[in-house]
Amino acid sequence: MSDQPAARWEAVLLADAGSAFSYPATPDIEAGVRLRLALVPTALPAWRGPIVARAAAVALALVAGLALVVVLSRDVRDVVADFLGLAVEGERIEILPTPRPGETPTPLPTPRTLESFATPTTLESAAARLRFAPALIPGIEQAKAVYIVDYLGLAVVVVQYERSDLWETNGAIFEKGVFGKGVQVIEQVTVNGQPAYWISGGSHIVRVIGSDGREVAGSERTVTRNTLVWRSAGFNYRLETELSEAEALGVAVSLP
Amino acid sequence: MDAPIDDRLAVTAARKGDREAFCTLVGRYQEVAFRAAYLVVRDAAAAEDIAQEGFVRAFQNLRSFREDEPFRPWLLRIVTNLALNDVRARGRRQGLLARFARVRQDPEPTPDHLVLAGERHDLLARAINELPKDDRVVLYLRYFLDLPEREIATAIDRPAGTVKSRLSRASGRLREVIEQRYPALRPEPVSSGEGRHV
Repeated sequence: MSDQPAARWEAVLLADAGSAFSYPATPDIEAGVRLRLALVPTALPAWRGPIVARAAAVALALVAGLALVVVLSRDVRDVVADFLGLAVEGERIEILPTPRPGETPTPLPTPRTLESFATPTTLESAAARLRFAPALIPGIEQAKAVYIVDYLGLAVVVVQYERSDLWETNGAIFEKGVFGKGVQVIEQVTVNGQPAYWISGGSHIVRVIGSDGREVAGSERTVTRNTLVWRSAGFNYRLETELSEAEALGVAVSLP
Repeated sequence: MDAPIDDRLAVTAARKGDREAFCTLVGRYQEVAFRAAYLVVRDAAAAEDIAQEGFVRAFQNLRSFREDEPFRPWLLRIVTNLALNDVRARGRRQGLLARFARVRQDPEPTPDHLVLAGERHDLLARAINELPKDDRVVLYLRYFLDLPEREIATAIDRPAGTVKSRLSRASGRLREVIEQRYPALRPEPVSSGEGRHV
C-alpha cells in the first residue's frame, strides 16, 4: 500500500545530486552569439499576429522547401513553381551546373537507416506526442515499426512498412525540400485533387526546411527509393517507397 | 543606467531585428543554456558550441515563438534538442561511458570531467545515462536545473498536465536501473532496533 516512501528515495537522490553538481564555468557565450548574429541576414519580418505569421512561415517553408539541385528542364522548374503556387521560378529553385564531360558529379551523402537517427516508439505514444493519430496504410501492408524524428522540437512520425516509410506531420515548419541528383523522373501528380510530386528513377536527397527558409541541420538524407510528397487536410506526407507510382498514389488517396 | 528590459519586451524587439535586445536575453540565459547542454553532452567545449547555436537558432526562429510562453523553456527546448542530436551524431554517449571508466581510475580529474561529488553521485550519473533520452532530459530539467513543471512542459513540448507523469515515469525507470545495476545507490534499510550511527 505505501509505495510512496519507497518511490521517494530516488527523488531525494536526484535532488541531492542536482544540488551538488559542479558545472564548468560558463564561457562567454554572448560574445560568440553577437558575432554570429552579425552574419545573420537582417530584419526578421514584423510580427503580424499568429495567423498571418503562420501563413507566412508556411509560405516561406514552401518557397524554400522545394528546391531542385539537379539539372532540370525549364518545364520541370515551371511545374515546381506551379506546385508552390508562387511566382518563385528562378528565385528559389537551385539548379546545379551541368557537369562537364569527364567530370564526376558530387556523390550523394551515404544513405542512413531510419534506425540510426529516429527514436522507436509506438502508435499510441506517437499519437500522444503529436496530438494526432498517425495515418496508417490500410490493407496491403502491416506496419513494422513506428519512429519519431525530432527537428528542433517539432516531431515527425514515421510509420515503417515492409516496402515503404510514411512520414507525417502537421507542423508548420516541416516542409519537404526535394533535391534530386540523377533523378530520372520528377513528375507532378495529384492526390485528392491537390498537387503532389513523384520522384523516381534514382537516389535523391531530401531535406527539411524550417520556417526561416533554412535547412534544418542534420535533416539531409539520401533516399534510394521512390518518393511521393503531398499535403492533405493540413498534414504533410512523404512516402518513401519501393512501390510503383500507381501503387503509391493508391496508398496516398487511401489514407483517412 | 537603463533598467533591464523584461523577456517579453526583449523578444518583441528582437523579432523586429533588434539584435541588442536579443543579446539581453543571451546574457540572461547563457548560463542555464550552457548548463543544459553540458548535462547532456558532458563536454564543456561542445556545450558552449551548442548553447551558442541554440541562441542563434532561437533568434532565427523567433517567429515561431508564442508570446504567451516564457522564453527560457523555449530556448531550453532548442538547446536540449541540439545537444541530444549532438550526442546521437557523435556517439558521445559511448564516449561518456568510456570517460566514466577513466575518471574512476584517474586521480587527476580533467577540466571537463563529470563533477558529481562522491562515488554515489558518479554512480547516479551512470544510471541516468542508461535511461532513454527523454527521461534523462526531464530529470535534468527538474532536478539539476530546477525548472518548475510548467517550464518543463514548454521545454519538452508537452501539455503541462503530463509533466508529473513523465517525471514519475522517468524516476521509476531510474529506480529500476538502480535496483538492477547499481544497488549500492539504494537507501539502506532502517533497522528497527539499533538505530543508525553516522
